[in-house]
Amino acid sequence: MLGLIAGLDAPTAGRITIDGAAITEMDEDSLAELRGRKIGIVFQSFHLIASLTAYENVLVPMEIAGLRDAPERARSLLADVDLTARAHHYPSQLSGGEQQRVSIARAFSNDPSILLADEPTGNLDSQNGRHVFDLMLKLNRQRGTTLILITHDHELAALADRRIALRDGRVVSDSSSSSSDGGETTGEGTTRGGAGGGKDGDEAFEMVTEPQQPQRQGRR
Amino acid sequence: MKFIWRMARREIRSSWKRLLFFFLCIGIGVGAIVALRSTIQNVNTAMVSEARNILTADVQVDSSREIDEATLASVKRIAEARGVAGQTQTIEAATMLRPADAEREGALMVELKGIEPPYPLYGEFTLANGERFSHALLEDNGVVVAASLLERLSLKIGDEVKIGNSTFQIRGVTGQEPGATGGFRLGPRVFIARGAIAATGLTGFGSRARNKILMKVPPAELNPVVADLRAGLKENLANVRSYRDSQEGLNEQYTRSENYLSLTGLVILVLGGIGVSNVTRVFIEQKKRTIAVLKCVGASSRMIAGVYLAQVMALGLAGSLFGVLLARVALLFVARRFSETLPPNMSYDLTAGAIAQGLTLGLLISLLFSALPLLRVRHIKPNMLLREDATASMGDLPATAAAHGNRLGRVRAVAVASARRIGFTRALVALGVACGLVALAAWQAGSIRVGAFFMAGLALTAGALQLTSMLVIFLVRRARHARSFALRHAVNSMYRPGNQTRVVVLAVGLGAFLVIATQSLQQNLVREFDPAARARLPNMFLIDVQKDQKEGVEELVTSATGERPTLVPTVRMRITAINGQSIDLNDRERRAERGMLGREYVVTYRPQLETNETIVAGTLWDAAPSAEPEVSIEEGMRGLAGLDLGGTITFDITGRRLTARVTSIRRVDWRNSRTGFLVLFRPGTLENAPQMLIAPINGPITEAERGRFQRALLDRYPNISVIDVADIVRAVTRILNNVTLAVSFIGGFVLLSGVLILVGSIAMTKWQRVYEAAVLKTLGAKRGMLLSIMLAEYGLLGLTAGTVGTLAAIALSYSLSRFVFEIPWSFTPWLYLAGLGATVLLVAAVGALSSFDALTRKPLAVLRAP
Repeated sequence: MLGLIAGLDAPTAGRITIDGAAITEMDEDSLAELRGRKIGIVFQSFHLIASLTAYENVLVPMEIAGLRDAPERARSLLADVDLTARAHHYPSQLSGGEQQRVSIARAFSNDPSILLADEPTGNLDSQNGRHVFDLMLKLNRQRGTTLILITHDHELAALADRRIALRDGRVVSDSSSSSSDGGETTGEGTTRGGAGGGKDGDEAFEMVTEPQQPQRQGRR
Repeated sequence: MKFIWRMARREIRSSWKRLLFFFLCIGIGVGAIVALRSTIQNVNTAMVSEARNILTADVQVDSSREIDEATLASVKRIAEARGVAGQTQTIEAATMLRPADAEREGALMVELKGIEPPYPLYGEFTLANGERFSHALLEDNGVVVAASLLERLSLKIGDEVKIGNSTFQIRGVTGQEPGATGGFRLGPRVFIARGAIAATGLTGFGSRARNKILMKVPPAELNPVVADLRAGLKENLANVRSYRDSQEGLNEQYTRSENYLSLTGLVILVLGGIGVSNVTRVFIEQKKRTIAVLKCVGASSRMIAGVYLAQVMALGLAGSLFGVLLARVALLFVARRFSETLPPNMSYDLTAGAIAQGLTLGLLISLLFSALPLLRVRHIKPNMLLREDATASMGDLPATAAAHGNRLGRVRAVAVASARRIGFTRALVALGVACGLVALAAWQAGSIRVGAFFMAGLALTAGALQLTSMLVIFLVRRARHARSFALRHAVNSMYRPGNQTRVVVLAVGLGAFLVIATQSLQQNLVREFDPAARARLPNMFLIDVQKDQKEGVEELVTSATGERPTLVPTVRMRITAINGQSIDLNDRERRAERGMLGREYVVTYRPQLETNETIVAGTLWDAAPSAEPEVSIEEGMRGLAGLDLGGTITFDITGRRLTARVTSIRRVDWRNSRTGFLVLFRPGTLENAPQMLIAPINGPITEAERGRFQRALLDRYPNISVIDVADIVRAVTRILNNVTLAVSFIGGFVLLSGVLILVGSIAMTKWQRVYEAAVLKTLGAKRGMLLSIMLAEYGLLGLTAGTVGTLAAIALSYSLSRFVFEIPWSFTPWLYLAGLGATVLLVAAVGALSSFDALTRKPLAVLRAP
């Protein structure tokens, strides 16, 4: 599902619009451009670029977008995630928690309206995981971003404004606490390699915290 | 754009080590081209600036006939009218020289030059002791000789020698000789006074002497003088040439050889390019995740391709610059090793043009060969990052897809459509790359045709090598079931994912192929020239035998060799007209045929064919002599200025014109000839023309006996010249060895880039090897076992490449011998075995050395690493 929202994956049927733009009809490069402008992604296994330092990893999306103040912003983002001292270390020289904090800084670097997080704490021990999660929430509130989080962790899920439970790619519950102009699922599609469709029957949650309400329509 | 540069710069920090070796290949190719071009351009510059000194004149009139009073008078008239500043005459002829002392043995063919003041008009003439040459040395039968003559005949300054009927005293040894270019010579140079030649009896009619008039002309008058002389001497068959003509000729000649030699550099470069293409492919494969991340954060495929292209180009530039450095070193080597055979005033710096060409080529090859692999960037889907995280769902994909059959059809249609689009782009880019390569080759060769042929030939060779290597690899694969664990594992390693087996086999195989083929060809050629192997063919030629000396020579030869010689009459003539059209050698259309038309023909007459001749058109005359001139021409002359059966040729025989009809065309098997003639006359026409006899003979075997025989012959008939085939074989072998060395050198470079590709591909897949070794270690493999696996793997790789190279070398050497040189080919197993063995050793050693640290790493650390 996260893949579909980010335009990393194409649905077999249906259409997805973000801010009124139908991303299902966009080509690869326009999708990339859209991601660069509006979407930040945090992966379970961080996916930092190994050959770049922490600072440079944060810098990349802004450079792609051609921002002038990229260096200052990168420094301030690293300060936000408390990594100023480690800015010039390579990913291999950072701990898992630190790498994830870099990836959070990277995800926020373009001031995205949507932040997608795929089991961001899955590869971290509980203490680090908590720290990373708090950081995400903090930035999320500070910057007014919609955060969509995929997780198996009920504790984390409980913190969300809206929880959608999926099992085997189908919605089993939706705790819609705000207007549900989006997110209704007709169940006529499956996510391909989608987010956390656990084979073992585990429920995965899509949790949405929406301080501001961007238009989001998803028919899957 | 800024992003591309920044990103490329950052990435290169970690990627350059892995890519380095491949760009060294580019470096070697660029180095070869820059070094070759610079050397030849420098030689050209030196020769062109020396053209006047080499000609030793501004204008030279050159004739194979004695220059008569009338000619001299008209030359003098033109010289006076045009204000010619200086003039001198020379005679040059190859003739025999022997010690005057009857007790001393030996005789030697020398290149005699008769000179008179103010020779030389240009250029330095010094003696070996550093003094300037003075014409006083040649007065009263003095002679100045090359140092090698004294050496070969054990003579010293002050000794007396005989040339023809005259005796001369050695007065000096030449140091720097004007006009000497280090070209091919029949014997050492010997200077005497021009006036002394008449007395030797060597310049009589039919002699091969060349007469020259040398002139010093004011620059402004150069072209008018040449034009006047050409018009005035049209009837004399004299060749008029200015130093500017020779400059033009030299330029043309050097540019051509420069271009052709550069093509060999291009071979190395293309090989490097194949390495680049390969490495880019693997590199992109390894950078998949980075590319996916970049796509996730908003980079377009084009941007990402730009990032990697920039890296490839940066390293291509680095490789090319390294190549320029290599070329600089190579030229220092050339200066040390070859300066004696190169012009004395030559520069050994790299030329700006060569550097520019080398850099451009290096960059373009990097670009062309990385274009296709870089297209793969487009196929990398960012969703792989999610898949990796949630691997569980990956297995679902086919099942889910199958469950939604109807939708699958749509997905497939979309996929096929996009694959088709991508396939089309790939094809388009591939076509562009191919065109680009042909354009590069055409640019280097200076001709579209040659460039296209070259590229086609290269593609064919690569294709043939590829096919052979596929076959050999297929056969090797059968060893998978071998008993030895090491061997089995080695064979599997050759097929490990991301293996570079094919490209290494191709590159190393190509190098081995060039080296082995050259060696094999050289051996076959040398054997062909070996007198012992050609017992049936003459090993000595007596030339300039006069008619009245016939019996005496026959008798002398018979008593010395026990075999009665056949003396063949020869008449020298030139072509003045074909089919009634007189030949103008300055005609542009005739340029290509100038050599054949302008040359002097040595013809004979006889009623029958020799055993090595066959008629291919027309019929040969019957035995009866005829006063009607009839000729039979060799098939190579067919088409010369439109000549064919039934046509006529007008010859000039020392001023007399003779028109003969072509009544037959012959094929001559030159290899099996005691003598061979392009033009054969029907008996009845030439019997009274001025003629010389030649006698191909099988002379005495031992060196000493040969010397004695020549001496006895010359004492009795001083005008006769002896061409000893043994001497020529020596000279040819020497040239052949040099050529072999040069070609082997280039082959060695190709082999080196093959080895570099090997080293580079090992570096690319190093992690895999280290990991494998670690796993094997934890499973109980000792270092010895790992080493033997490694040696087996690379030995096998070397064996494959060596086999491919050797097979191709045998094929090339066989076909060149049989169809181009038309010499018998013989199989020399030890050469091929040695070549094969050397390749196996080289690859095994290099391979094991460059993956040595897989043995020494601690397994736990390796296995724990992420």
